[in-house]
Amino acid sequence: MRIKIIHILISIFLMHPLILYSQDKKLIDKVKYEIWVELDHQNRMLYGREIISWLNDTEDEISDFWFHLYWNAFKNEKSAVLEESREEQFYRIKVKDGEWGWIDVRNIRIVDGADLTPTIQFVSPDEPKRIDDQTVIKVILPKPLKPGEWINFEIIFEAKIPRTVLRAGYYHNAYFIAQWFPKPGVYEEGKGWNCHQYHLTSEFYADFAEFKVHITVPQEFVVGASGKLISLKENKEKGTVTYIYWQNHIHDFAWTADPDYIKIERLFIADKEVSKEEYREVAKILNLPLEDIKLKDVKMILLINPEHKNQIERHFKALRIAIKYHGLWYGPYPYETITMVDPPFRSRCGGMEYPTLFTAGTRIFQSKKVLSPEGVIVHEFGHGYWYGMCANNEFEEAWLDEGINTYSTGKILAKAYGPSSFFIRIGGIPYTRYIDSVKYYDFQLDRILGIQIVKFDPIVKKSWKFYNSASYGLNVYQRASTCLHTLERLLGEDIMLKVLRTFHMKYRFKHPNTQDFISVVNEVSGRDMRWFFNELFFKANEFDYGVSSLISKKIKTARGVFDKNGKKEEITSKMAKEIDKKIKEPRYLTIVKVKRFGEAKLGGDVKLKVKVVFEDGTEEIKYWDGKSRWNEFRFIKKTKAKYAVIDPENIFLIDSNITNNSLKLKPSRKGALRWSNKVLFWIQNFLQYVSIFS
Amino acid sequence: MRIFKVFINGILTANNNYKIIIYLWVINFLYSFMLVVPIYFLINMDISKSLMGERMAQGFDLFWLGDFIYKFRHISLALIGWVIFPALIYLLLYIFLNGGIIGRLSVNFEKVNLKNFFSDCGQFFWRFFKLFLISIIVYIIFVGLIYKIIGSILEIFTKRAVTEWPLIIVSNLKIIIFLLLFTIINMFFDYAKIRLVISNSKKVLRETLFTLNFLRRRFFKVWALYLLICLLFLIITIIYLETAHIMPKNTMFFIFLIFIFQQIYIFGRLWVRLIFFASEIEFYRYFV
Ligand SMILES: [Zn+2]
Repeated sequence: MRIKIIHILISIFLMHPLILYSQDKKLIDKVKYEIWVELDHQNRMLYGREIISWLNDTEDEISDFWFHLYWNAFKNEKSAVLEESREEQFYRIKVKDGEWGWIDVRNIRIVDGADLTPTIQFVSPDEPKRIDDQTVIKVILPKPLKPGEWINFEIIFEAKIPRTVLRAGYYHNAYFIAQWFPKPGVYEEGKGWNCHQYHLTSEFYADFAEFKVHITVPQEFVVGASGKLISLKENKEKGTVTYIYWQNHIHDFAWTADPDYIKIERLFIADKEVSKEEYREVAKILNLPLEDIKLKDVKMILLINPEHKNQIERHFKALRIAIKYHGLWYGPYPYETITMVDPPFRSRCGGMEYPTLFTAGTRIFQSKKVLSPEGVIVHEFGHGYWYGMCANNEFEEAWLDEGINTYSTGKILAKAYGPSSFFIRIGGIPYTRYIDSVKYYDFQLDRILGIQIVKFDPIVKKSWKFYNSASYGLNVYQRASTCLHTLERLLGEDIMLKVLRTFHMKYRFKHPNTQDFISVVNEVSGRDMRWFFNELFFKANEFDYGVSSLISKKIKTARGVFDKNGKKEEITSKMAKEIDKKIKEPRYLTIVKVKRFGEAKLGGDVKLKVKVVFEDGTEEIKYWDGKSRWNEFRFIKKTKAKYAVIDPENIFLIDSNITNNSLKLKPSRKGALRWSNKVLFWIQNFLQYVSIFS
Repeated sequence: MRIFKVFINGILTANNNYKIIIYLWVINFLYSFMLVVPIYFLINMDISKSLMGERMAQGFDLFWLGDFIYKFRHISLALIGWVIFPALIYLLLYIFLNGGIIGRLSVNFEKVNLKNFFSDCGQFFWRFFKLFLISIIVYIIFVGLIYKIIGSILEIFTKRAVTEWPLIIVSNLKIIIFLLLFTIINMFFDYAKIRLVISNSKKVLRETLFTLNFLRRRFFKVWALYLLICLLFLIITIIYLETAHIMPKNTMFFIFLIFIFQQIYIFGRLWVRLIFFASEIEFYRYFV
């Protein structure tokens, strides 16, 4: 979003003293929140007051104002979230009697101005219409807000905390408070308010803001929140404590409270974590001066449950790895703190990201061979870089966050930990014995899942409009990640790293969209890759190339009537055989046919490599632009072909059938025998187990 | 009566009747083989002419697994039917075979041959089939219902849990309770079958009730014997798993070797099955 400097200067001096808080002079948050909230533990209520200052940095005059009231998603079964859930096959959430949550705006007024409460109306902007959904409201301003002007709202709200069914709520003594305060949508110049309802399969979108939040809780609670703690006040009489947290350049604020948390603080010391050699290496790849690569120290705060105490080191190690590699590769972590929350038991808030705070998730028994909780820690911290700082509209283009983050999580886990093992959990205890010989990387698992979902939806689509929650999840996470791995293999690992670094730094604290990402890819690689996104991100087309036929035969002397010295001469079968016998070095004709089985097509300057290997060990390499349905290549060689393979380096990881990428002349039954043998043994045992009932 | 002595005698009787193990192995192998043949052709069809076949021979690989899942995603339901239906037929087959197994084991002075084995199978089939119907009801009541009731009692602890601990304890407890209940019922019907054969009675319900009385009076002894044989099965299985775990499997020679080794394990399983009946017959004879 463009910010008009003159408007900002005027507003700084005339309208808003709070701006002086801002540390970064270049960057001004267009929204400022000061929120006072009190937790009523007995009644599971929040009582809040907020002052929101909002800058109109567009050229539009704005006459109404839209706010999210996310918690009304848990108010009744008419909300979009709960209706969508009931219409779903896979993703059901159910609120039990008496465990509903809601949020009410008691009063909304312009500071020193009009009371807007009477103008409140619920709106449901999204299709299909769910008119009883109450997660978005609008108010009418008494006079339009002019470009460059600030407006200050004072809102009194109260909220019933839901028993957590989706991200926020309580269980027992534990609270995870997210999406909890009345929050303006994003105003887009010329388009109006982008303020979607809370949907089952979608996350969020908001402007960068400065937050100052006063959280009052009963004194026995341990609190964690976005940003840094700037002060703490005890109220002995009431038995409460008020924590004041502050942070700028973030677009959401979450907090958690539980008397049982163990709170541990450690420092990420950049110079200890990263060697000079590592700095130099990355600087060289990215072609950046060393000072741009240098990381800053970060205060790491862990809130962990007592029963997971023995995993404190595992948590910190994973977090240090996450800060290090995200920082080195995509840009130094700009905030002073990061809070990692081990979600309380049954709090259903695990594995979720918020600015400068995230929830991980572990179990009492974890295997050392399995990357859990490491995977979720790296992933959720990683969101801080994509959703957090390159704050795309998650309602509309979720892949920009989840897809890129799934890709980068896989890269970092592979670099720092190597492959993971499979495990099965029986009675809460993980077992890896007998299955730990199979190691896998995330990108392999992503491919398995990503290729299954093609033909339902394209990757780029509004989040709540996918075929179902499985199509949403598999497309925006695993299919997008597999496409990015394919892109990496096409461009080269170093170029891909530059692409993501450039994308991240260019759009840090901005709202990029898919087109912005494509522009960065083209700009950094110097190639036109629009076709790649058109085929694989905007269409639900299967990508599948393969070798459809391989023929390799000795060239025999041709029979028939030939003109020779003005006469007709017939070469008979017998004669042809005689001639063939005399040939010392016979020649062989090999014909390879390659085919595009899927609808997705190659484009730009990209060609598929076709490799043919012959019996004498020689190879022939050809290239095909892949645009037609099929193509053929012919070779005349001294030996027969052994096999032909298209895309031998597996650059196109997104290919949904790698088996048909190669074709051998002679079959080999070893693979099928080995696995049929295994299946035979499984069946034999299974039948014996069944016979126990006889 | 020393349990361990019964156990050893059971092993000896099983060994003397090794022919039964061979019959059972041939049946198990041929039946499974018929089921696996279409699988072999299904795998071979795609993979034998692809380089993926070589990867497959090297071992488990997420690339070929992904291709398979994608290719066969539409027939996954058919695969469930392909598993369930033959399993039911096999169960019926074993109700038939049990007559031969117990019939032959209970007359240890006569040599086993195909004729007397299968004539026993035929002789006891209907009795065992009726017993099987009763056993299904008992399994449902005891393993299903009682397990459910115990489960819902335990749920009181897990419902209010504020850490994962009660869940871990309860789920392991439930596994143990399930196994114990299951072994008791399974053992009970072993003795019911033995009773039917030895007394050569056709009154299935009456003999079943008699068995109940028989087991009630020396329950812990019989159960200890049963669990001792379970332990033997466990040991054989662990030996198999540990050895197979470290064996290479990527050449034709090793594929063949592992095949032999797997069949030895199946032999081991069938041997244990015989030991169950042989020891139980010995135990039953001693008291009746
Ligand atoms: Zn995520």
